[in-house]
Amino acid sequence: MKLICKLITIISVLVFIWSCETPESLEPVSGIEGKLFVEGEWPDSIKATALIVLNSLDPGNLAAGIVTYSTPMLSPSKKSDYFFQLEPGFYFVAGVGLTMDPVLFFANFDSITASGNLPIVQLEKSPPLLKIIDLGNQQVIEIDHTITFK
Amino acid sequence: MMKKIIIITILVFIGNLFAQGSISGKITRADSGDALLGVNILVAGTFTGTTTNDDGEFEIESLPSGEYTLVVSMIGFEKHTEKNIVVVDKKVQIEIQLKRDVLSAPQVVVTASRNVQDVMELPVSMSVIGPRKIHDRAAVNLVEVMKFEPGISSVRGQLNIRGTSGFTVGTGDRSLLLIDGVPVMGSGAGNITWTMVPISEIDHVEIIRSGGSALYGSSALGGVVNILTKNAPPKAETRFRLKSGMYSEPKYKQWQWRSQPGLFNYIDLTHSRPIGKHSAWVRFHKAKSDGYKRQGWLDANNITGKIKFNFGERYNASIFANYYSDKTSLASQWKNAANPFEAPKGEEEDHTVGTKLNLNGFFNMILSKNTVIKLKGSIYNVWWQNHSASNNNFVDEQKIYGEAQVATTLSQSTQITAGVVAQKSGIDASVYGDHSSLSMSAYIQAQQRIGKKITLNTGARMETYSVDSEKLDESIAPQVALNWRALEWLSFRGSVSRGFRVPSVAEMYTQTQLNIFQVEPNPNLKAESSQGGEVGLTVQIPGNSLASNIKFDLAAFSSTFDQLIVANPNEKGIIHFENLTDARISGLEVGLSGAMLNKSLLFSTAYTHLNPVEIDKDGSAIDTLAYRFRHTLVTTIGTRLMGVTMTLENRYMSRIERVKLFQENAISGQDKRVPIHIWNAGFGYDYRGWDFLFRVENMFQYYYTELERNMGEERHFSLTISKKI
Repeated sequence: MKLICKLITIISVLVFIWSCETPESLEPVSGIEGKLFVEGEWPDSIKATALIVLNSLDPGNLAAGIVTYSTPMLSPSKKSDYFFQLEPGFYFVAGVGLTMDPVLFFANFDSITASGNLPIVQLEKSPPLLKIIDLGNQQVIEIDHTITFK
Repeated sequence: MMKKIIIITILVFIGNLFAQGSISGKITRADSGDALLGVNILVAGTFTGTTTNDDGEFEIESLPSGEYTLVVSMIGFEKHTEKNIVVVDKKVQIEIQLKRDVLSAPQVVVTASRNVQDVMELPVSMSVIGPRKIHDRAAVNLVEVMKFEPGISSVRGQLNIRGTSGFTVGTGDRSLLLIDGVPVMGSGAGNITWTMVPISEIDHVEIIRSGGSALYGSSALGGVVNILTKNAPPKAETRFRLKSGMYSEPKYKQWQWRSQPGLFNYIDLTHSRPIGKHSAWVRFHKAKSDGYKRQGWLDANNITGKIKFNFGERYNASIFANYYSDKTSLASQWKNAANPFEAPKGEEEDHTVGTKLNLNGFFNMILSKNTVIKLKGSIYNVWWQNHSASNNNFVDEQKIYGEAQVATTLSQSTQITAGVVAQKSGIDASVYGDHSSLSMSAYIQAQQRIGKKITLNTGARMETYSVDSEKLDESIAPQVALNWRALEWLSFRGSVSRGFRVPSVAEMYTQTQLNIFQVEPNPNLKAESSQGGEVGLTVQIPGNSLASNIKFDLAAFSSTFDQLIVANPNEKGIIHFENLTDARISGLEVGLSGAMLNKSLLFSTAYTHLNPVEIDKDGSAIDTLAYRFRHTLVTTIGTRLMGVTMTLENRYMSRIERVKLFQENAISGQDKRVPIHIWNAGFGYDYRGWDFLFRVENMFQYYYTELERNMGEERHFSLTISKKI
């Protein structure tokens, strides 16, 4: 019985030590949040709009720089909320128009982005429409964004 | 010694030819001398047993002449073994006194084979939760207690036994819930509502961790949870329990979202009394919680009652009724990672209103000393309606369940249990239309003793299932299980079984919009099935004052699932429930518990390792199954001295390796998943019958998600006061 007692004590201590392993609790994040507005009449060719965040800007290969994107706002909506969680750093934020059904696009997102032929129209190519963000640690920047269709 | 053996052998031989005797007696409490009602008495090495009546008396008749050992047990008392009882051709009278032992877990169970069985002679893995474990955690939801057992975890409140369910968005649970042996699950979604379980009136809970459908049919694919409710005590009594507390504000200022802390209150009031030969209890339960997040509030009422009829020696019956109504918040996910305790814009007021009514009962007829007929039935009605910005979905469903079972002991070494079950459901729902379903099944099981140390269970169940009068599927589920009790304190077990689960109506017919994705019905869905096996051993040592109540349990298991039903988006982004994946879940469970230093120091730990993988037709692993924890370790250490209890609990679950909806983005850090490390502590004091229990859960404010974009529970403090009047 003394052996069992010793075994239990040893196991308890081992379990306790293992339980005290450094935890990795979630912490506040950095990001950009705000509202996306659409002004003007939606063109027939645009099925949805979204904001994309890029960490590099290569006009010849936009897909290479995409970090994340917002939930598409379907035509003919005028307003939606967005939030991007991002690591601290420099980013470009741009509005894009989606020329295919967004459900199909996101269902096949990996293969489409791998092909580099994105079914999107870059609606904003230069500042101030193309926004440049410098994001600090655990900082959330609030920016509203308007896409204007003529 | 040799002379004694010869005499007994001769007695047995002559006795078997000519005579039968009986053992009768009385069982009382050692401390007060009061008679004990409901004590289990088993004749060791046989299937013969009984329980004591109101006066603590019992009688076991028609025993062939021989020498017997009685195993006497009751929750809250030390197990007692009465050896060397020699029966010849007359009544042997014995008196036994049982000593109190609050640590003792139930020593006999009924779920594993539908008959009374010693826990050391179980052929399958089982956990038994006694009332002490429920009390010490001040639990209001049984899942919170169960997940401290080996092999058991939960994902956002959905029970997982050996990882079989994962997370299925409230449809198609792969664990079966029984209350007093009768299934209690919604027929539309095939899910379990844990909040309607009358937790303060639970006598004990038996959890079969081995999957298989031989005894309990569809949904028992991953295991069975059988909740045995209390019977009213011999004297009238009123009990109340009040649990009140508050949630902490999030420790990060960025996450704080309300000006005052969230509160919660749970009240139970129970009255029980004998009524002539019969007895009854009724319980009122009120739950009101602000929740730890914006969309986490709850307001629920529950009335539960049970009447136990005693029609003499040969007949008894019970009726259990449970009415539950609630108004509770609805939330699909957090607002965003920067505001994880707030609801998405426009969903702040989303909620659902619902009622559930469950009536179940049984009637037992003892036809002869060897044969018992049990009739069981239940009615289960579920209604709820969403009040949400995106939909006002509603569900209205009824289920009727009936079962007839006969158990007969052919000899002291053979017992047969057989039965037929019918279950009919009618469903009217905006999300999946009007449908009906019917399932019919028959089962048989033989329990055979081979010598005094081996118990062999063989059984099978056949079930047919139809939806809207069209036959959907039929399945046969056999099981073979063996227990070898090598020594009084050591037993080995092994089993192989087949299980199946028919798809729920929700999985077949749901048609709705989920965010930008469309969910469409799949009426061609087939039943999923499993083939599995396990081996295990149990060591149980009563011990002495230094170390006592030692229990060690080890199990290794593996199950292969065919045509597992999963929600899957196709190339058009349309989600169907499909028979898509074959899968294999294998693993290991280790559990150790005990008491030391004259039962002043208590210890229990359970480790589970899972390897849950999708497999191809050749059996090669393709990917990890979603929403499963590979490693789970739960530990409780406590002290109990002079009415004061202190407990410290730790729950570790490794990071969920795969999810379905939102994948981790390594570049942006979005949807990061972390392991779960939760510490809880409790401090209790018993003062003149008033029971106080202070608890803090998640005391270090550890933040995690079990399901994507759903923050785990925030730290909360509670004080529970209970009193018996």
